Amino acid sequence: MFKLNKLCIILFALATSYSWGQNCNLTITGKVIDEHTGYVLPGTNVFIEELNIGAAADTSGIITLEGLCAGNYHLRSSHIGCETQRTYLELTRDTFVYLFLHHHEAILSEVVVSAERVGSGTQVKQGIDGQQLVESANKDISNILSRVAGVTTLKNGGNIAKPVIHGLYGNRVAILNNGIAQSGQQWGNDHAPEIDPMVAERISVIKGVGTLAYNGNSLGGIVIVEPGEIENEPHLHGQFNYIFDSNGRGHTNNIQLSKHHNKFAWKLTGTLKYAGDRRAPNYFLTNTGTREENMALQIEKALGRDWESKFYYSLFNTTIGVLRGSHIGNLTDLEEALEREEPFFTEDRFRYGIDAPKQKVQHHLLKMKFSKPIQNHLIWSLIYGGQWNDRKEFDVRRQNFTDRPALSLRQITNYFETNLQIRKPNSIHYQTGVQINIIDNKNIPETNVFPLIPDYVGWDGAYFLTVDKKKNRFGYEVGARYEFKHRRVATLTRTSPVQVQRFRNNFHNYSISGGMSYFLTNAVKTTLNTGLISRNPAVNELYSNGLHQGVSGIELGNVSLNSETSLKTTLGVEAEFGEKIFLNVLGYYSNIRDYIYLRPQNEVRLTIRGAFPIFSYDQTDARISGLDMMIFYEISPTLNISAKYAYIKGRDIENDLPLINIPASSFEGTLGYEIAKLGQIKNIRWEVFSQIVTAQDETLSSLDFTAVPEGYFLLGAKLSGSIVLFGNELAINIQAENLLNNSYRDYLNRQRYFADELGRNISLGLNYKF
Amino acid sequence: MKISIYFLLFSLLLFSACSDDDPEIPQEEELITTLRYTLIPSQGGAPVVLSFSDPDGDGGNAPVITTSPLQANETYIGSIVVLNESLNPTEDITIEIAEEAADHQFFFSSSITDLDITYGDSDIDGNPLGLVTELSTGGPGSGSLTIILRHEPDKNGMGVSEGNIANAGGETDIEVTFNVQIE
Repeated sequence: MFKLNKLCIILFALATSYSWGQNCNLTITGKVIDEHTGYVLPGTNVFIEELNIGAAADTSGIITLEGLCAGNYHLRSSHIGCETQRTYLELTRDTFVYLFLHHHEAILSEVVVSAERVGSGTQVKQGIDGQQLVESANKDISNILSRVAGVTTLKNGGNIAKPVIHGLYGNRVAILNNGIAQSGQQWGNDHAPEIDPMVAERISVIKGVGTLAYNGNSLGGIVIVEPGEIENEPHLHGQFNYIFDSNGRGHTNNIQLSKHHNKFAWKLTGTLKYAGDRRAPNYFLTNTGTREENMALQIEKALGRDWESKFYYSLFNTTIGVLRGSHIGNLTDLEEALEREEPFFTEDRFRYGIDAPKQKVQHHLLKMKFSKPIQNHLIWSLIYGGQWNDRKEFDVRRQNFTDRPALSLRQITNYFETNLQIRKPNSIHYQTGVQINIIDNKNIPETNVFPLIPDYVGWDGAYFLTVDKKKNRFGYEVGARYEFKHRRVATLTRTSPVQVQRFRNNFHNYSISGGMSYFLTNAVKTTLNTGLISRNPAVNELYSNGLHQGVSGIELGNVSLNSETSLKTTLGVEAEFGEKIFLNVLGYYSNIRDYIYLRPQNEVRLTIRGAFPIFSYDQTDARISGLDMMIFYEISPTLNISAKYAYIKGRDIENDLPLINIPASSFEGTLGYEIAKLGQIKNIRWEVFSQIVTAQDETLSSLDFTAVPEGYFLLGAKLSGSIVLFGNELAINIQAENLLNNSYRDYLNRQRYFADELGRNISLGLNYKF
Repeated sequence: MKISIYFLLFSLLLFSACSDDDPEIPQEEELITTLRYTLIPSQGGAPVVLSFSDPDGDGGNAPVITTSPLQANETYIGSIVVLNESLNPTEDITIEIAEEAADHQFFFSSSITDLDITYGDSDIDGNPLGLVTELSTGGPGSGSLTIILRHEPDKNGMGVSEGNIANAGGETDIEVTFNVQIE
């Protein structure tokens, strides 16, 4: 796939003079373009590091640097509101360069349509990248994504979060890590995606139905983690990031190194996180520390004459402490916990140590991609993705069992794909492929506990075809996907003696989607997208059997579930007014037939720990609709404001009841003040941001253990800037979150039954690029 | 083709056998299936046994609860036995609780106002445990008796050493309720 990447510089060598000897009369001509909008950027400063000379772009965004000797140069392009872009150039003759700059301003990149689109761009892809991602190195992938309007998080405390896209999560959201669907225990509400956001160059979401070319269920949306291309730089380059968090006394270290030499390129990323107990405004959240040790290696190599190979390996390793006071034995314990101001087991001192309850997760991903042009514009690719996911959860148990996990699951997935892409300029683009996925999920027999999720093996086969075309102001795309899934499941009965029960399931999933985009004017784009997608019930929905500790309920699978089918339509408008106002509005409406959900039953089960309510998976018809809005207004070159608003409503239309776990409406506003240069400090930005989340009043009190939390208001501030240190740029940022140290609880955080959300956090971040 | 061989070789690295092996049936060694509260009348006579038994653990068959009537105006020496009857042979968890006495405490509550239970044992810190108790009855009547075993309670919490559960915290390992008849 041809990608317009910020690191991808298109060099048009307009040969006018032949280089021999030391030719010192060469010219570099460049055109500076905003990567997002495609508009030229007059006034951009382009500077040749080696020669200490530079020029400013004229009103048509053109810069000219004359009288240069042949040689290797680094061009540094800087523009207010943009990230400084470094470009490597081997100058042998007069050269024309396109320089794509990337807005580093936080909200802008979400407001403005990304240069990289899916197909013809009938879907809006919104995400986080560049400096914004680097400054969030201390956060997890879900919390980073929640900066996009319409994306929220389902949390279990401050350190476990899952992305929620338009009210859907877990089994319904596919997470594509470098094009491979993340394979793990996604069903668990307290299972965060096993991905280090720092391996990505960009993390984005697609909120509508689309990208049928990818494996993994996308009924609720898709999260895309892209490691990006390796910069075309023959020298060793990289960056180092460090962030300190006052809340949890956390240290985040990240290093990235890359080199592109001849036909061999590599990039190595490593992240270490170390944090202790977080703190709510009034007390420590005992046992909420985190450890993370991650790495990723990316290799690109040309093989032979026309094969291109890409190799990617990533390792994610984490240990996460779970609030000690949220571990309860039965319903009475839960009721007592709800009564308390401060959770049980709260210690009055800070600790780095992590005891039970805790989670230990390891995830390996190995991806290989080989592609070869067969004819002009026809590319054949072979892809392999292997994943190994190990999840162990430790509960508070009697002494002999403390080192033994209460849940230990291993999932191994092998994925194969072969696809063909036809991308003829100004013509219809085709993409088609066949995918096979083999999955093996096993309970490791070390727990001495009956498993919640049974062992299973299975395979999926899929075929897809997508077609898209762009002509002048109009673009369209249509796609279809068929998926066959075979599962062989072995459950254990709870009778004595225990028996093994075997189930064999075959599912057929069909998806079709269509969309179009139309530019009303050069600066106003509208998109319309509709998709029908079906999802078969997942193994946990069919067969789970056991006690869900956290909420003291017994969860029962339902073997008679059918597939659910969603019909979702999104209508988007992206507009720019006079390069001052950027606006992005997305409305959506979806109907989900046979929506699978956990329904409380009118019975309790008596056990030796008392009586537990029973929840069983059931189906209904649901409707989810809402609106996401983002606006950015550049009041003056130094002052700008931005705002985001998300509204969502979810109904069970069969029973005329609200759906549970639907995010409340939220509003975010940011006021930014920028100074290009002050003495030695450049790119100074001062920012004040606030968030207002309303109470979720559309819930059924009978479906909850306690009243829904009240709405809340949060205030934050950030100051960032950069200086030159040893010839390289050092960016510094100081950030305060929950500046007023407000005590609040969030509806989508399961820990709300036990404790307040995090109190004030002041972080100091350093980013050194070399 | 050379490239396909590479591809196959690499992809076999992570390949696992997709087999239909029988899942291992877990030995629920930590499981508590049975609580037996044996009350021996101080003035002699047949002991009274209150028992809650669920040998197959959560789910499966419903637990079996057996009780016998108590005598009015009598004092009993009570002792609790906790078992895991899902294992063969049956495991006596009472021993483990006694060993980890500081991390455990039984709590007793009854709807019968003049039914009184006091602790007859303690842990190394001198705080009550509750495996041994003294139960005294008043006049005839009927009601419920609830026995709770808490793991890692705060034994220094207010009233906890007197048997008041309100400030105990910790997790509930056992919570059983018996219907008690006092004749």
